[in-house]
Amino acid sequence: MWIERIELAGFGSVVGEKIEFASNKLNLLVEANEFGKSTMATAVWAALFDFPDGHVANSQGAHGGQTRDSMRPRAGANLPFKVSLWASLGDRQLKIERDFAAKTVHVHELKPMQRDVTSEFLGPNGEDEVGFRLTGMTRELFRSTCFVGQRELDEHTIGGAEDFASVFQGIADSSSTKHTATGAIQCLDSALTHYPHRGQQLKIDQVIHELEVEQKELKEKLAALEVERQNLFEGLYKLNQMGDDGGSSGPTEIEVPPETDSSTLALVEELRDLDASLARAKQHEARIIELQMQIDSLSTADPSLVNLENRVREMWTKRDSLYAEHEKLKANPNGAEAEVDALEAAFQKKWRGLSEFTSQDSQALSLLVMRLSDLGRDLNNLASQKQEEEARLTSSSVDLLKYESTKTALSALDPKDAGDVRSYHALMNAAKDQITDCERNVVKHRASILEIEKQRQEMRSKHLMIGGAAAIGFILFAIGAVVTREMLPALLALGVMALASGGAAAFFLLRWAKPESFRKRDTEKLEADLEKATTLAQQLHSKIGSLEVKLESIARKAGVSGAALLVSMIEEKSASEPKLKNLDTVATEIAAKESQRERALDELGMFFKKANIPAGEISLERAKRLSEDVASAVEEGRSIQTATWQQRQMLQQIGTMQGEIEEIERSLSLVFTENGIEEVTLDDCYQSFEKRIDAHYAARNIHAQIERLTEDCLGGQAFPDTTSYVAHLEQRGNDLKMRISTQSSVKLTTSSQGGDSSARNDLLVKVRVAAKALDDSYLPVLDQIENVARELSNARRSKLSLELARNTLRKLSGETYENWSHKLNSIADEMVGKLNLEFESLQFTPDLNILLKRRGDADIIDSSKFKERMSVGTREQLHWLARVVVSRFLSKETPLPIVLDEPFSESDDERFLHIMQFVVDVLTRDHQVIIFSCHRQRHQWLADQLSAEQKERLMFCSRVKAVPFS
Amino acid sequence: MLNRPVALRTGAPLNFFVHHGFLEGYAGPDAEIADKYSAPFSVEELESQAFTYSALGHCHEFAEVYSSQGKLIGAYGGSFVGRSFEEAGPRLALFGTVIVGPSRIPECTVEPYEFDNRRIYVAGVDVSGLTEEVMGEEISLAIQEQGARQGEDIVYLHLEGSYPPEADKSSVIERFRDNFFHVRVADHTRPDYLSERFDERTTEGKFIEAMLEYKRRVEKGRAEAGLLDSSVAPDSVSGGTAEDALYYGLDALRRQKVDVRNVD
Repeated sequence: MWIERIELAGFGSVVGEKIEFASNKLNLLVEANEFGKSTMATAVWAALFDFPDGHVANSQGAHGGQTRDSMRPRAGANLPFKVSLWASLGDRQLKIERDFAAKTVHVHELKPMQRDVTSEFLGPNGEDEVGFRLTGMTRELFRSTCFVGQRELDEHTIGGAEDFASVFQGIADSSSTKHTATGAIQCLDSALTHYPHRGQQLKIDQVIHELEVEQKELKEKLAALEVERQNLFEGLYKLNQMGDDGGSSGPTEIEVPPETDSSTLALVEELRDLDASLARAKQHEARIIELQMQIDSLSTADPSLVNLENRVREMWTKRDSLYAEHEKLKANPNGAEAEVDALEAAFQKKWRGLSEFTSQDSQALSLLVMRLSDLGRDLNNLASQKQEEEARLTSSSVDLLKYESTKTALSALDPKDAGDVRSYHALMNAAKDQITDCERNVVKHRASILEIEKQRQEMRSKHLMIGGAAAIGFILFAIGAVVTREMLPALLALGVMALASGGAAAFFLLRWAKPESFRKRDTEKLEADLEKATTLAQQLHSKIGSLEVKLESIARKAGVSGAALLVSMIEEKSASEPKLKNLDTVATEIAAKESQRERALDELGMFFKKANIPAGEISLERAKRLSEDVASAVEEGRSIQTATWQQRQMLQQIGTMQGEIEEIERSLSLVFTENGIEEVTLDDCYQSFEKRIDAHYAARNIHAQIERLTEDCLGGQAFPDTTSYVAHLEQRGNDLKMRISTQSSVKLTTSSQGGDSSARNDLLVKVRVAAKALDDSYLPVLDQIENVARELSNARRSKLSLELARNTLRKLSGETYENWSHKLNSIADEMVGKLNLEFESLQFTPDLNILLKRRGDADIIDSSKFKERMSVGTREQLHWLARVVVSRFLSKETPLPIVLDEPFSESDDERFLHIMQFVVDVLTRDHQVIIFSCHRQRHQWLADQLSAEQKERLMFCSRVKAVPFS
Repeated sequence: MLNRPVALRTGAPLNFFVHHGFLEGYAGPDAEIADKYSAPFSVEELESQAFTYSALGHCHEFAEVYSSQGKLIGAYGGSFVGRSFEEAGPRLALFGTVIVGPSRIPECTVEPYEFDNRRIYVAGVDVSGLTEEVMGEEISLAIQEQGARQGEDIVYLHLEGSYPPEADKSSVIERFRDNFFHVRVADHTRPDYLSERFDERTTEGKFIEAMLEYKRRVEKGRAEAGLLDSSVAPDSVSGGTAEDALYYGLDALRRQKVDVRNVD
C-alpha cells in the first residue's frame, strides 16, 4: 500500500493544502519550524484510523498529545475539519474522506471502477475499520511501528535491558503497546495478594481459608441450633400432650357463689392471676436454682482463654488442614519426586557436561561458531590469494625467497631502528655528496687562487715594466727639464711630465712591490671558502664516521654482520616492497584473521572447558556439534523445567508446609504453656483447651438463661431476684385471700401442686427459654451462613479466574516472544547485512531483548550495556532499526508506508548518510518512506552525496494549495 | 394453623390477635421469596377466629385484611425498616383505632405512618455503548425515576452492559456516592474490549482467542474443555469464570489495573 496524496481541508494549523507523494521513493517534506509538518504527519494516521473516542486519561498518552479536539482547525470554527487521503493497493486506487467533526468516513474506489466501497471497510456492526483493513494493523500497532513521531526515538532512547525489551514486548503483547504481559501478570498477581475483603486487602488464599473456617463454625453452630430447635418442637409437643391430658394448674381452688358482688369478683380474678404469676415465678426460681448448680459443676471454665479461642482454633484448623494436605502430597510426591528425579537424571546423563549451559551461552556459542566458520572461509580465501600473488611475483622474476630471507633477517630489527638506518644511510650519502662538493670546491678554490697568483705575477711583471718605463721616462723628463730649465714652457712641460711619469713609476713600482694587493679581497675570500670547505669536509667525515658507528651498532643489534649489509638489505627490502605490497597486505590480513581466530578459539576454549571437553578436541566441526548439542540441551532443559514445574512446585510446597506445621505447633505449645495447659501431647492440650472453652461458654449460656428467666419472671419489676419476687407474690396472695375470706362467702382452698403440674411448668419454662434463644440466634446464623457462602463462592471464583488469566498470559506471551524473535531475526540479518553500519549483527532473544555485535569486535553487547557503551545517536539509530524490522515483519503481506517525523536528530553526518543511503537503496524498494523535517541544509547535502541512481529514488515534496473540499 | 379456634378471653370486650403467618392471596413483592410460604392461613380462617383485630406479621409489606362483609379484621404492618434491597420504598408503622359504638360491635381502622426516615431504592441501568457523560445522565435519571431523595436514602444501583474501555466508569459511579446516604453498586458491566480489532499475532489477540474458545468448550461440557491451565481442574471452571478470566486478563493488559468483581 502507498499513499499518493493527502489533502487537508482543515486540520490543526493547515487549511486547504495538499501534498503529493511517490511510491517506492524517499519522500522528503522539508519545511521550517511551525509550518505544520507534525500536523501533516498526524493527519496521515488520523485519516487512516481516526482519533480514539472516549476518555484519554493522559493527554500526552499514546498519541503524543494529539486528540481530536487539539487538531481542530485553529483558523476558525466554521472551517471544515476534514482530511482526504488517496491510497494505492496493487491495482486499486482508493480515496478516503474523513470528517472528524461529524465522525464519518467514506471510501471511494477510483480505479478500476468508480464506486463507493465504504461498506467494505466497516465492521459487522458498522465500526470504522478503514485503517485496519488497509494496513492489517490496529491504530496503536501502526503508530508504534510504521509511524515514528517527533522525538519518539529520543524519548525511547534505550537505556537498560528492561527498557528495550519492554518496548518490543509491548508491541508484541498488546495493541495498546504501552503495557506488557509481564506488567499484566504482575497486576494479576497483585490482585491475588491484595483481595478486598471486609475492609482489608488480603491474600486470596488466606481469605478463602478464613471463610472456610467461618463457614464450618457457623454450620456447627447451626447444627447445635437445629438440635435445640428439635428439642423445642419436642417440648411443644409434650406440652400439648400435657394440656390434652388435663394437667391442673394454680394452687388455690375458688368456689364463687352466684350472688357474689363485682368487687369481690374483681378480687377473685386478681387472686387467680396472682396464683398464676406465683406458680410461674416459682417455676422460674426452681429452674434458676438448678441452673446455678450446673454452673457450680463447671469447674474447668476459664474465661481468660476466650481471647485466645479464635486464634488457637484458627491455628489448629490450619495445622490440621496443612497436615492433611501435607500427608496427601507426601503420599503422592514419591511419584512426582521420582518423576522429576528421573527426568533430570536422564537429562544429566544425556547431556553430560552441558546441563550448566544457559540460553545466553547457546546464543553466544552459536554466534562464535558462525564467526569461526566465517574466519576459516576468509583465511582460505586469503591463502589462495597469497598463493596467486606469489605465483605472479615469481613469474615476474621477483626473488621471493631472498625477500623472505631478507625479511626474516630483518625481523629482529625494530621499526624505529629500521627508520634510523634509512635516515642514517641517507644522511651518510648526503654527507658524502657534500664532501664531494667540498672537495670540488677546494680544488676549484685552489685553482682560483693559483689563477689569481698567476695573474698577480703577470700583473707584477706588467707593473714592473710600466713602472720601469715610467721611471725611465721620469728620468728622461727630469733630465730634459734640467736641460731645458731655461725654457720655462719646456721646463714646465717636461717638469709636469717628469712628475707624471714619476708618479706613474711610483704607482706601478709600488704595485709591483706589493703584488698581494692584487685581488686581495678575492684571494682572501677564496682562502676563506677553501678553509670553510675543508672544515666542512672534515666535519662531514667525522659525521659519517659517527653514523657508521651507529649503523654498526644497529646492525649488531639486528644480528646482521655489518652496517653495509644492513643498509643493503633494507634498501633491497624497500625496493621490493612496492612490488610485494599486495602480498604483504594479504599477509597482514591473514595475520589479523588468524589473531581473531585465536581469540575466537580462546573463547571457544572456555565453552569447551565448561562442557568438560579436552582442549585438544577444539575444532570447527567439534564446535558446531557442541553448539547444536548445547542448543538442544537448553531446549530440552527448558521443556523439562516446564513439564516438571508442577512437580517441583509440589515438592517445594511439601517442604514449606512442613515448616509451617512446625511453626504452628511451636506457637500452640507456647500458648498452652503460658495458660497452664500441660498435657502429654499437643492433641491432649488442645482437647483440654476446648473443654475449658466449652465449659466457659456453657457457664455463660447458663448465666444468660438465668438472666432471661429472671427477666421473664420479673417482667421489668424492680426486684433484686426471683426469690424476693416470689415472696412478694405470696404475701400479696395471702393478703388477697384474707380480704376475700373476710368480705365474702367465697370459698378458698389451696391445692398441692401435683407432680404433673410441676413437670409441665418446668417444661414450659424450658420451651420459652429455648424459643427465645432460637429467635435471637437462628435466623441471624442462617443469614451469616448465606453471606459467608456467597463471599466464599466469589473468592473461589475470583481466584480461579485470576490464576487462569495469569497463567494463560504467561504461557502465550512466552510463545509470542519466541515466535517473533525467530521471524525478526531473519529480517534483521537481511537488513543489517545491507546497512553497512558499525553493526555486524542484531539479534532478538527469545524474550525480545537485543544482542548486538559491532564489526571487528568479538564482544556481544546486550541491551543492559547499551547506555554505557553507545552514544545517544547510536542508540537512537538502533531503536529505529529495530522498529523498522518489526514493521517489516508485521507488514509482510502488505508493504506499508513508513512515516517519520524529524528522525535522526542525534546522528552525525556520516551515520545520517549511511542510514539515508540504506533507506534509499533498500527500504524504498519495498516501502514508501515519508520523512518530515526542518533541516533543509542537511537534506540538500544528502542529495549532493547521493549517486545519480540514488537521487532518482529521492523526492522533495512540497505543500500546495488544494481545491476547496466539497 | 388457624383451622382450630384460638382461645379467646370470654367476657373481654376486645380481643387482639398477634399472629405470624402467610396469608393466602398476599401479593407483596416478598411473596415470591423462597420459603416465604410458611404457616399459611386464609381470610376465612382469620375471620372465623372472631378477634377484634389481628396484627399480622411475616409478610413485609403493608396489607389490610377485610372480612367477607368488608370490615377490617387485620393488617400486615410490614417491616418498620427495610432490611434488604427487596424491601424498598417507604416503611410503615400502623396506628390503629377501635371504636365501639352503640351496636357494641368494635370497628377498627388503621392509619399507616412512615416509620423509618430512610428508604431503600433499587435502580438498574444498562450502560451499553454509553459515553461517560451519557452514563452519568442515565444513572441520575434512573435513580430520580425511583424517587430516591438525595442525602437521605439508600440506593442499590444495578449496572449491566458493555461500556467503552476508555470510559472511566468508576469516577462516574463515585459522583453518586456522596449524593445519597449510602449507595451500593452491583456492577455487572464489562469493558467493551471485544468490539475492537485485535491483531492475532500479538499476545493479546492470542489470549482472547484462547479464552473465548475455552469458554465455549467449558459451556458445552466441562469435561470436554480440557486443560487450558494445568493448575486448574477442568470441572472447577464455569463459563462465567472463564469469562471473568478473559476480562481480568484484558484489564491487566490494557489498563494495568484489575477490578475484581463481586467483592466489598
